[in-house]
Amino acid sequence: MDRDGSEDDRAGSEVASAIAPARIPGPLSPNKTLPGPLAPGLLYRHCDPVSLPFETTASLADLGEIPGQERVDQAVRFGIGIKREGYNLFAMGPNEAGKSTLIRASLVPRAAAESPPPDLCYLHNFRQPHRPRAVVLPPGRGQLLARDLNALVDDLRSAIPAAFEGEEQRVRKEGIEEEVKERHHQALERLREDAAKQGVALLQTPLGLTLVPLKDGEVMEPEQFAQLPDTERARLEQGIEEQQARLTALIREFHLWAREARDKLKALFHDLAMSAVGHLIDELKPRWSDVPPVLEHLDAIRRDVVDNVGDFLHPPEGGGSSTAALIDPGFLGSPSPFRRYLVNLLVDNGEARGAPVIEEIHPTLANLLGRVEYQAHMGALLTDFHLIKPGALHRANGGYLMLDARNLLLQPYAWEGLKRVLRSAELCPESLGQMLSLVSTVSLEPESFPLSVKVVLVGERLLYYLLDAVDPEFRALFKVVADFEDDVERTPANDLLYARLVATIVRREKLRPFDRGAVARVIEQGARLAGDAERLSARLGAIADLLTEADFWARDAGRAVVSAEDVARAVAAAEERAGRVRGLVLDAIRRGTILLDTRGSAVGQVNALSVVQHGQWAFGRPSRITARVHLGKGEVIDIEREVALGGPLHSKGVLILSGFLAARYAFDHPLSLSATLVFEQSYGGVEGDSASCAELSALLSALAEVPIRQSLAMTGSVNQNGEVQPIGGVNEKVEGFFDACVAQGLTGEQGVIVPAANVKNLMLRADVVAAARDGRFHVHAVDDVDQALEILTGLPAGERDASGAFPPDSLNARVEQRLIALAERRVSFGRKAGREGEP
Amino acid sequence: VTGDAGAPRRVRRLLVALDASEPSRAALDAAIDLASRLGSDLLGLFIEDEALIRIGGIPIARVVGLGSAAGRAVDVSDMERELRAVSSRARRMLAEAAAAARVPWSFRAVRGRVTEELLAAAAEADLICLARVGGTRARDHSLGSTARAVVTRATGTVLLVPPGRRVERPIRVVYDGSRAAVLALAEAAHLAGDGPPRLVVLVVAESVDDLERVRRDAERRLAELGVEPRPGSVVVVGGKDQLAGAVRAERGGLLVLAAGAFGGDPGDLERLLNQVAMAVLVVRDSPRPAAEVRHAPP
Repeated sequence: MDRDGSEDDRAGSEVASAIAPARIPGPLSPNKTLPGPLAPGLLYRHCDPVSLPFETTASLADLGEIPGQERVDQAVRFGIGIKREGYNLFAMGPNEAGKSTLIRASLVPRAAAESPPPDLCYLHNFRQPHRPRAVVLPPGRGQLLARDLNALVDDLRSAIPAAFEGEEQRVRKEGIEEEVKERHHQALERLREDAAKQGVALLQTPLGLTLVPLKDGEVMEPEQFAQLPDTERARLEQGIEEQQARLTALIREFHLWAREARDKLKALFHDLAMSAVGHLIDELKPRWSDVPPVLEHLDAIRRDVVDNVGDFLHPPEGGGSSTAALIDPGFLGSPSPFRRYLVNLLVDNGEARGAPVIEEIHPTLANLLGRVEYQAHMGALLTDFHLIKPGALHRANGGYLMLDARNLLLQPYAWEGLKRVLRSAELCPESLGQMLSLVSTVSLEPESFPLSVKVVLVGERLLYYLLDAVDPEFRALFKVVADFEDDVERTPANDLLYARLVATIVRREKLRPFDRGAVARVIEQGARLAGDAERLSARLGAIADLLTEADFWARDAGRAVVSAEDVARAVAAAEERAGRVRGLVLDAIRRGTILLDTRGSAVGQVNALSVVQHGQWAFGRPSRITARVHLGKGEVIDIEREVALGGPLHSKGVLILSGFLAARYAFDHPLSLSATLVFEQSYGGVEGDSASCAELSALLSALAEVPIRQSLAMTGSVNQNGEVQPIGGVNEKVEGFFDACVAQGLTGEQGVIVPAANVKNLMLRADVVAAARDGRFHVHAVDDVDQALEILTGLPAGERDASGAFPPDSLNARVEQRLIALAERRVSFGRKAGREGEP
Repeated sequence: VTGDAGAPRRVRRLLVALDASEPSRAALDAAIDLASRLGSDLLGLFIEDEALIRIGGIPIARVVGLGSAAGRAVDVSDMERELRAVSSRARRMLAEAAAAARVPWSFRAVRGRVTEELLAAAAEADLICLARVGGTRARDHSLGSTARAVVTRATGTVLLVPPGRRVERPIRVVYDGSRAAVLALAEAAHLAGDGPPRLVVLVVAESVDDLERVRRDAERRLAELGVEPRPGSVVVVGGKDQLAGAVRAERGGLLVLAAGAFGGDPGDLERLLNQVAMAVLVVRDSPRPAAEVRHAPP
């Protein structure tokens, strides 16, 4: 209120004059004056377009932060800065508050200033093939390693066959083969000679080695054999048996020799492969001398290639393709032995500038932790380390991961999985199928990567408090809370920031530019959404919707720039679209289905105001409250509570009334009334104590038998001292009664009494403000129930004088007299009853 | 039958001796290779060796399997049965290999004495292909008895295939200026075909004085055959005694040799064959009717 000449300034002074007389003397002070209706300027705090130093939003710079969220900014800065275990962030706040946008805007520039994290890759584990090796490489070196190993395999595929097919190698190989053949031959020749001495021939036939008797150097004919004497036959038979035994032993020895030859060949292959592989590997080593795991891997490749040199000499099908194509999953079908020498580069940070900021919008367990895929082949599921796929945590490792808390909690086992890796600071893929034994197939148990990631969960406050309550690990893992404000203070500086926010959203959503009048109207609507003339809503989603809808109406009107009129139309149209239920209620009031008087007066009857909430929409609904009193034990009966239609807060409000009555009136008499209070035509339950002041007014009216003006409605809660306390939804309530009055006809007498503490919340609809300006509708602000009663009844409430008595004919005096009368009647009634009861 | 230039004969039928052993497998591969190159039919011949069947009649004879090392007695019917099994294995081997190379083939199993039956069947074929050795005798380069008999007694061209080796280029041909050598040169040039010039002429002469003449003669013959002259395609070896030394070290390739070379001394031929490790094609001017002799297409 520091600007000169503006409408707001004038309104400000009117606040002072309207409120001050009630405030200065304090409640129930003898000198107070009755407050008049509030000045129209207090009913709606305008934003003066002139105060906005721009023509349209096109000339405004984007806004990186959200005004008024300094607390969040500090929390984010703290959370990012502290590199300790468990200092992950939970950003909580209302829906549509732009939490993710703000967090991202805070994270990205800070992350960009950090150094890029290392590359992550999986390599084949030659010792334990089911446990692929997790290898961390300096950023950008992953691609180099992949290129080096591809080239190595390419080279091996040509170098090894070349090494084996050289003339020298062929001679050495054939030498070994010839040697074994020669041994066979010599052994057989010796046997042949020995056998011949015994008259036995050794023949090679297609059936095998055959031993037959000899005759004159030729194979004996069967007829000749038949003519031999028995002794000769026996001698020959013995000779054959002896030779057969020798032959059998010799053939067994052949097998041993064959094995020796195989071993020699193997040793030869080993030497040849070693000479082919060795220098290729040695060429690579200096480049990787700074990464010991790669050096180890190169040595393992050398050993494996030498052991499996046959793969390179007789490549199986599929092995003929280019090496780089071998890591395609399709090649798993006909597994190429060369795949195991290549790299599965999970995360390549070669191009990265700064630390990564990753958002995973579908945080399933697999999408977070990575997964092992399978390839169906001949009805079986196969996999290898090339089919390990990274998760969001791999990509975010060394940086930041943003997750929506609700989405995360909705995914089976994702929350548990995330906690587990954060706790252990180790990351490896986990399969839900295997975890739950749904899939049983040959799988991998990859090694883990060290995990260093800052997780930012974004969610509603409820989720934070629930997790905090039910998950004992939560607090240890998410130690930093960024708590978003629901609304921000409405100051000229913040107005301007709000305007830049509008400009940012307008540009992001590609809307027409907003002129300053339209922006002012948006700021006013921001205050209305906050339910407070002095605050601005931080629910950016609702503001963005309003901007989009205003843009629509501007297009509808053929305007290139969105004006205040379009914003107003967007607000009105949105209300209109949601207005069916409100229309039904107003129609019922107009037709008399809902009994409501907006003129005349009645004893023990007052118009109260409630708010009906349906979905995101709310409107005020007037309700009639009636009170009846009779002789009783001093209790105020809340009919709503008796039938379980009233909530605990409502009951509390009603019970306070007994306290108020007992304290203020007839404190030397027993409270001898029985009062009933009811919300007429309320069938759906009542909650809240915002009608308690109205209920008290109805009760006192009934006791004093003084009529209450039905042209007024009342809202506000009351305490035991009779002070009126602020309530929520004041704008909807005032507008609700205004609409009811319009439905029944505006008389110029009608108005609403609201707690003085709620004046700052007033951001009333334009038609209400206009009616107030014309004197056709009035909004009164009161501090205590006496003020309210004076306005409602037109009688002075009355203060106790020095003797402790209320002025005669004052409302309070009437109430007290009635209560004393009731007490005395009760005493006399009790005596009479006692006498009648004596024997 | 051949003119001065020595036109190669068309090989219409190629006979291969099979016994399902490893050496005969090499012979089969070589025969299939030749047959598909020359467009010939292939006749596989399996001979149920009478001598073996007769062994079945000797009750004390024993057969020892090379795989099992177990010895067993066999009678005549065992022998016949087992030989039939070997025969059908040989037939299967031929069928598969020929089908893969798309060579027309037939198979015949006969009973009798191996060399006699082979020579009898050879009369029906233009070329006979067989393993240098049978059974497991693979140590030295000396010829097996069957191969020796066939080379000596056959009237047609014989291809001897060493075990475990393919018949491949280069093709070396021995040229001594004789009429038989002219034919051998023509055959060799024909086999070398139009591919990379891998034909090497080994010039041999009785005396040093003749060498130069024979070399020039060889070059002229080559030119007549349409073979482009090229450094190294004509190599002067010297006398026939130097020939074995020149080719002994060579393992791959094919040596083409006229049966009537070196004055037609069978002893010289056998000595040479015993020292050569590579495959050898012994070309013989076949006494076949002239009507069947056709010139190869250019």
